[in-house]
Amino acid sequence: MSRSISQVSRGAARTGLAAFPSMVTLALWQLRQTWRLLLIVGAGMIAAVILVCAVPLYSQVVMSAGLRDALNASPIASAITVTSSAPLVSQQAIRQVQQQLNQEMQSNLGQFINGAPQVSVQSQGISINTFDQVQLIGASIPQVRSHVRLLQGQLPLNSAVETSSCACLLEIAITPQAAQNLHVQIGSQLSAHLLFDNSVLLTQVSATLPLQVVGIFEPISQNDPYWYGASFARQPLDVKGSLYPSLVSNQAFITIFDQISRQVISKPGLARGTTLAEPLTLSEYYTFDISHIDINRLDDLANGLNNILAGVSNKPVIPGYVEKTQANGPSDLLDSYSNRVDVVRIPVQSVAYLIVGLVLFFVSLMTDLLVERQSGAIAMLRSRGASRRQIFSALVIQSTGAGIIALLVGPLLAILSAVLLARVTLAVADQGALNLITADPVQVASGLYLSALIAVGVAVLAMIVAIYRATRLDVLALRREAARISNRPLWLRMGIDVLAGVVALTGYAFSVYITSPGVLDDRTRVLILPPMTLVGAAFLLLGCTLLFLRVFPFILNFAANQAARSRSATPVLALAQMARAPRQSLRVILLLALAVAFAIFTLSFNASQANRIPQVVNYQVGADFNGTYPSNDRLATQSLAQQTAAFTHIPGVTAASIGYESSTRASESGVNLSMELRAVDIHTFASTAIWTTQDSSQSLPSLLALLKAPFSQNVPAIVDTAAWNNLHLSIGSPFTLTDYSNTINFVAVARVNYIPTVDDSVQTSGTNDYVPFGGVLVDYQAYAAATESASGSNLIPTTVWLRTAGDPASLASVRHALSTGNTALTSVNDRRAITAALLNDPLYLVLIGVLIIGSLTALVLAFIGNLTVSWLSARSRQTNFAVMRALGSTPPQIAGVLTWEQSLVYATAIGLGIAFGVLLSFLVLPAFVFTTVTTSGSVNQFSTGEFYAVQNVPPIQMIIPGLLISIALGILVAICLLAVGLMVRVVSRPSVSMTLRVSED
Amino acid sequence: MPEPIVLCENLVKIYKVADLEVVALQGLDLEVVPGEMMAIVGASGSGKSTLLNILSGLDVPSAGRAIVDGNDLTHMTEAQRIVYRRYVVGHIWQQSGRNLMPELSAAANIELPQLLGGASGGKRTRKAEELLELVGLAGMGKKRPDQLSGGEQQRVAIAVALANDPMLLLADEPTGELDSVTAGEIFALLRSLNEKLGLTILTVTHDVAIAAVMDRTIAIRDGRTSTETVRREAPLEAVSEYVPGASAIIGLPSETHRESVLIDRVGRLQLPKEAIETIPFNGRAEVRIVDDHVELWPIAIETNGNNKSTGDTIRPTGSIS
Repeated sequence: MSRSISQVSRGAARTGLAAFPSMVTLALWQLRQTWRLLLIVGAGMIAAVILVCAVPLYSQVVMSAGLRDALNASPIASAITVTSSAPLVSQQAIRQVQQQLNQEMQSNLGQFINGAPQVSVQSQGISINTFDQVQLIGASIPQVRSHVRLLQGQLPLNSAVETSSCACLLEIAITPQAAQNLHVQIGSQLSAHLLFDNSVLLTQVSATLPLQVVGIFEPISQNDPYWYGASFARQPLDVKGSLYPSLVSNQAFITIFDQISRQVISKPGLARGTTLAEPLTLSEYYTFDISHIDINRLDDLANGLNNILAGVSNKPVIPGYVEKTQANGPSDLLDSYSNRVDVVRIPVQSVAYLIVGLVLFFVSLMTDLLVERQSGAIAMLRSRGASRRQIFSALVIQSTGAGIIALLVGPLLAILSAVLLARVTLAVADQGALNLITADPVQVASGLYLSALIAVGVAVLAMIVAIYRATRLDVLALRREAARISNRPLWLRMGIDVLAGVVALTGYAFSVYITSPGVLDDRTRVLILPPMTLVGAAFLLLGCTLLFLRVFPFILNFAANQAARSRSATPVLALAQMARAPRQSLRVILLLALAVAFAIFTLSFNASQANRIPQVVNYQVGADFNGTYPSNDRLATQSLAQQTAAFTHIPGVTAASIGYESSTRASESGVNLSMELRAVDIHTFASTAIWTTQDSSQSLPSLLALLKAPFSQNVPAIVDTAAWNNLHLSIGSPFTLTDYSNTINFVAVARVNYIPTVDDSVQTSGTNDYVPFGGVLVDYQAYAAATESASGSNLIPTTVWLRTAGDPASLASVRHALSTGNTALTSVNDRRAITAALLNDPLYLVLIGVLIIGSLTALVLAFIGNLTVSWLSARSRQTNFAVMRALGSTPPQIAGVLTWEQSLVYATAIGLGIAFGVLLSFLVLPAFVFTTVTTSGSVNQFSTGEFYAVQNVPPIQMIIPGLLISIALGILVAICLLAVGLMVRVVSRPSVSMTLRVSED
Repeated sequence: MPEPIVLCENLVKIYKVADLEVVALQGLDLEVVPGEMMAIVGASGSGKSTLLNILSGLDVPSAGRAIVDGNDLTHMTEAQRIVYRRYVVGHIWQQSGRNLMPELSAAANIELPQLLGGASGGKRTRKAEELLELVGLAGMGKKRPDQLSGGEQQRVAIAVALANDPMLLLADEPTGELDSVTAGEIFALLRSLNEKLGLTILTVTHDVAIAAVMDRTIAIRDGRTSTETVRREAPLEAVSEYVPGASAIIGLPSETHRESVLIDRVGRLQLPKEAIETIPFNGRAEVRIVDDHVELWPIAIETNGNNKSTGDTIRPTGSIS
């Protein structure tokens, strides 16, 4: 009796969820065949998840550490300071204001600040005798104990003391110097005379404030940030007397002043218009809770702070009691850090994406192998009646299982990796930022799941595509495919290589256009160019790769034909095999080529980035040290020779040069252009300054010699390219600059690319900040003469440049001399110190960490992928080699064929990888290398505009570290040799008869 | 005569390789009745594997009709083909690597087709045990293929092919890798299954010994069924001088087997190669219907149409009765 399909299918075929258990069973059965490769695929997926999760996590920790460092750098930066003036003191008014402030702070910055503010009430000087005054500095006594050393007595009590002789008594603690000068000791009483003004009666009323010395103390450190700049040192007054700052309790201070204020205004006629002649200052310091500072919440912090600064100023106000409220906080610092983070994030994220791309390529490659290894089984199952959906589901269940494991394990390992990497790269002091992870690892892990899910999703998708292709096979199709590859790859059919090439060339043309002068401002250029460049380079590499895939089979055929003419069988066999089935070779070539390219790129990036730091610092400082004379410095009024001598006499200084810096204005077509002027001593500057061939091809001494040449009344000037273009100059062109109110005439005698310390730009900056449009270098003497002629006054030097020895003793000596004595300078820039600081800058370390991950990943993937592919390839060809041996080939000949094949593969891969790596480096590096330097030679801090301008000034140098690349390539070659050894072992181990007998097909 | 379980009419299969078209089957006709055990023989490239692929639902004919157990293979959807492969036919290939999953035990291999059909675990296990017993491997279900001999592997392969109770068993040189003794055992098993289960078996073979024990042997030449060789009920004592000593393709002795040329419904037939080589037909023959047989006469160059030639008379080479 016949069975038609419709009859049997109705009864037997289970579909949907009912079939799920059977699919799971099938998947589990297949797992027995696939577990090894699936393990590698799973490891690849876990690696992808780790990278996707660890890079942002590590960046978060390191960038947060940098932010915390910046906020901790000074007391001013680490707190929001709210100051108010208190013309009269009312406890109730002060409490009310504090409550309002606390509410404001909590609503805007509640998560970022410590709960209770540090409060200090301070008076101006209050007379205690004819000449001397005390300044009362209030503090919270419990807090203050850890910041002072009590020498005698005790610290003041928190409350006012009522005595029989006096309604109130304020306890104070003073320094030993004050005790000695005022001839007081513990228990002594002083009478302070408070003055009140009445604006209605225009009279002054005096009140007595009895002070009792209860303690003698000294601050633990003069620079203790707790005091926010308040000093207990004696300050001389104009007349004979002195001002003695004294420590009092805030609470007692306010209580007593409240009482006194009420007593005064209760007097007849004084109820209205009475205020302290010298109002008290109420200061509240809201310190940041550093442990909660997180780079991911930088915007919240900055916005909250700006809200506070805008909202608190001049309010809350309680007329007569609390007025003129002002808030100060590190908003500029946060803006600056935000800019730096923006600049750093681009290369970090791009490199991370590159690594993830590499990992996903690896996963896809392994999946292809996995599916290919199963193709026989798939074909058999299909032939036995397995539907495509069943095969597909079974394999997808396996992939999904691997994905789920990656999803569970990956984020936890990512956390571990980020912690380990941060511990390795961060200084111990910065490792507190690890609390972002360690405080609540479970929450951190759950926060990573979206990224992990995307990574796993992409990997599973890549697997699904490969599986889908394979499920079409049945026994017949498999035989046909083995005999001849009938399907052209999708990319070849669609001409994706040509498309990618067109996109890459279009992108390249576009990037050339947008980098040309005047198209983009500096800020936009810095932020937009890197991702665009990366996308363009990625397309170019894709195009090149696909082009290679297109031509490689032809090259192999040609080589096979050429080899056929030779008498040796080994190359013929090797090339013939590769030409017949180039797929396996192509996989290894692409994997190795990408690993090599990535290694070259990361190493070059690392070297270029490391080189950028000294390059930028040299440019910014212009010498080993530079600094500015303090105002009214006596040394600056002496002759140049005397000033120079004062500095050259400092032990360790090898050369010194004195000069003048100024921001001047030029007028061009009715528009004022700011120009940086550097007037230098041409006799000493050449031996002091750091001047590179990037700055000008002409040597500095020869350039300075040009400044001596007399050019009528005009001051000879060397002009940099930006000024040259903006002022449309040529050799001998006169031009005018206005320095303050002096208009000086110059004549251009030479053009240089750059003048160190001048952060100018031909483009606009894209911000509203100060960015000069050019720089001009002149002889100090000539400029001084011109200034004197124009204004009749002498030119006072502003700047000192020093060249020093590099040994620690010399540097210590120079640093000490520049901070004390008559050679003390302000805004000192120390080239070596800045370089060292930048090399340890957390933002730089982020990149280093990611690059370390990248290089290691590339090498590990190359190692695993190459060994796996080689092992599988050798196993699948065991029969071929056994047949060759049966035909009379010796094991060395077999090894020779393998060696030939693999050598060709590895040579092609390494050659292609070097080409790709160099191409990628040349295209991408100039847009990616950044600097986080924030200090310039002329001013202490860059403006935001200058920060973006300095990313390309001086031009970025690309460094290809030959030695490191050779080492990396050496490691790869070692991996390749290992792979060849493995293959030779696999094919030569079993006996020929055994291999031929057990051969499956 | 029972309804044929396999019916091929004018079956054509054309492959396209690059720009070349290869005609693998060119109008093949075949009928197999239920319970028959039949061999297909033919030289390499004659089209026998193509026929088996079409019958197993792996390949689609280019033209003609192929009906197996009432299922028209020329008009099946992909889904129907899956069900067809799962339940209507069972396959055995020459290489055990194609028949069995090396990582699975013999029992699991037998369970696999049932699993694909959605059978429950208990049912699968019972069926696997039954089939193992049927093929003579009771108690060896836990062994993996590499722990079995070649003959045992093929026995398991037969059990796998029978897992979903197919009506037709297709075997592509199932004993090609086995020694003659083991091959004989395998065919004895197939014969026993044929008798016990009423299974129709269609096998491709080059082995004379195997073909000799089949009910019927069909020879395929150039993509067409050429001759049919049937075992005589009793061996002949003497063979006519006009009859070849053995069948053309596989060489079965004429004493025990009778080889006949197959004529399709429109009267086409293939003359034996020997006949073409012996008699110079030059591409045409004159047909003479004489009483109870048909004679084919070569047309000599001198023949003028009235059967009077200038040369020697040529004897007829064959006749159709």
